[in-house]
Amino acid sequence: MNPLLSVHEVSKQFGGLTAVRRVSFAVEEGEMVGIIGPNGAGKTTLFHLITGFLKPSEGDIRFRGRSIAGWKPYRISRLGITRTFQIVKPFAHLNVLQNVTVAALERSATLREATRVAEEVLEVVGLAGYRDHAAVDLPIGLKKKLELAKALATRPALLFLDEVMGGLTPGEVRDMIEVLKQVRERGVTLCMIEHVLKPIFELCPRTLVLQQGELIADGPTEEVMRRAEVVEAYLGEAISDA
Amino acid sequence: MKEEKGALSKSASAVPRRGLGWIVLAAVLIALPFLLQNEIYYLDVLIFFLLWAAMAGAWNLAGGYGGLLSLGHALFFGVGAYTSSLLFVKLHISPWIGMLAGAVAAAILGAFIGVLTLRLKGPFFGLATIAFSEVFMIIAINWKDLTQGSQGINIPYTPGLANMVFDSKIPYYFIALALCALPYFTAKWLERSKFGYRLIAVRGGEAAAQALGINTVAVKVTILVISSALTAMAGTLYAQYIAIIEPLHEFSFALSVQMVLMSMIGGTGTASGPVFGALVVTFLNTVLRDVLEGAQGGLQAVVYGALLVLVVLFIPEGVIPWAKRQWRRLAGRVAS
Ligand SMILES: Nc1ncnc2c1ncn2[C@@H]1O[C@H](COP(=O)(O)OP(=O)(O)OP(=O)(O)O)[C@@H](O)[C@H]1O
Ligand SMILES: [Mg+2]
Repeated sequence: MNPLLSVHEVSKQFGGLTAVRRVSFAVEEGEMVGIIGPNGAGKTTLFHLITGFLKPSEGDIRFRGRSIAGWKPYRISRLGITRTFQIVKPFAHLNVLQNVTVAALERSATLREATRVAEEVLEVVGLAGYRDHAAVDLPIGLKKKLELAKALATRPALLFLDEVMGGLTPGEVRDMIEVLKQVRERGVTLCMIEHVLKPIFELCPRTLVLQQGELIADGPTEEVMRRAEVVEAYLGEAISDA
Repeated sequence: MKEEKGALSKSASAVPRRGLGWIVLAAVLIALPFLLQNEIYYLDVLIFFLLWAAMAGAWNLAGGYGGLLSLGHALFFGVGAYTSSLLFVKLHISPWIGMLAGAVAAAILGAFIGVLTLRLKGPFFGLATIAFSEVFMIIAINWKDLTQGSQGINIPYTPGLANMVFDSKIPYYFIALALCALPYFTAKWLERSKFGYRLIAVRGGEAAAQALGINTVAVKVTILVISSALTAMAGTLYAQYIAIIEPLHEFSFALSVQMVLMSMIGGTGTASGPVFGALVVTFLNTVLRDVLEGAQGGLQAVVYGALLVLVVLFIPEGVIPWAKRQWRRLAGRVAS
């Protein structure tokens, strides 16, 4: 059987800079994969490549065996791959419920149905109490939850989270970890970029490490974290962050 | 944190009162032209108000709800005016059919410009609409055999329903009212439809919308097509009402700016904003014309400019959204 996602020898150049260099890995249905690496390692760029916001310079990306390299983001999203943005992007002019409703539109027959899906998702992430608030006025912790809620409302098979823990207080991080556990139980496959390592340890049995665009480690999280080059790549980074 | 009623929501309890309001408004709008029957001057002002509101409302669908800042919407207005007028004068085709033909022509043109430029980031769309209206103006001036150049086209005075020419102003009033209602109710529909949610999302953040499966280019082209068609219909009525069209006005940048200005004063991305903006501009026009006896066009531009600067500085969201917020705050204070 084909893996859910397979990334094969993918590279991305920006002018002279190679942001992602010949990266290959596969993700199986139901996995939770952590992605770590220092600033500028190419993590976000890798997400952009998989979700269609950038076209790979080389290599192939397959979802359930079908090549999606170079597809438009909206088509990839409709196929079942969604992502959150490192810099959260709530829709101005819309309140929290409406923001999530937009996300549910493509898989709903009517606006009413989309609104119902949105209400359910708000319940799951714990934002139900804020449904009528202006999305742009939420504090960062809640904006991150909203970002997650929007991604979930598309009912994805595979979800890419770009630093959803970034800027959260330790309490909020714990809260978010619980939400993500529920998401996993709903059968969503997850890949998450994090600088904070605690959620990776708690949620992801497997971790990938990127450094200067290259995949330098891929394996069981505990093992990967012990490897010398990872510690090196992370020195001064994670330790100062943690 | 403040509660967001947002671009899209309604509370259910306000519905019966609102229904009554609509009935009263409809009665007033129907009675008004008959009350003003002998006040031709005011009826004329009223018709222009409705026409500007129709035009601004059509612009607002793309420019406000869709965030597509077109500075060349006169293009579609002119295409509407010229299509129906040429069909009427040259081929004796009823302006009613001409109006639809003009709408279709403008829609095709809008689709063409949209497909060409709305995929691109940056100012290409806004520039393209300006460029196209300039090109059409030049064509209309120079293709003298067809358009009589800058002299313009006269609509012959042959009253009759089929000709959309009347000896009373009242029929024009009702056509203008209908054309004003069209973008208004389209805007209302946007606020409660899947398409409208997509559109408002695209305006709020294109990348985020794409990540959620929205074909943002298709959404933008669609609203531009609708907006172009409705703008063209206003162009046809304008031609029929004043009975002469001139390329230097119909395709002019000033006309394009007027649509933007009226929407911004009232509030872009709201259904009633452009109507209110048209009311303000019509009022100012009338007052200025009385005061200055039509003397200096330049001074009018200065007054409009000053007005816009004031609105942008003090109530950047436009008067209608601002007033609604003040009203809600006041109501909240009374309730608590
Ligand atoms: N659109 C772009 N054009 C040019 N260079 C880019 C572009 N996007 C990213 N880069 C560069 O590519 C490299 C990888 O950036 P990327 O954002 O993927 O890193 P990251 O691992 O997500 O970092 P962080 O942890 O800070 O979010 C960086 O050197 C960045 O400056
Ligand atoms: Mg990043």
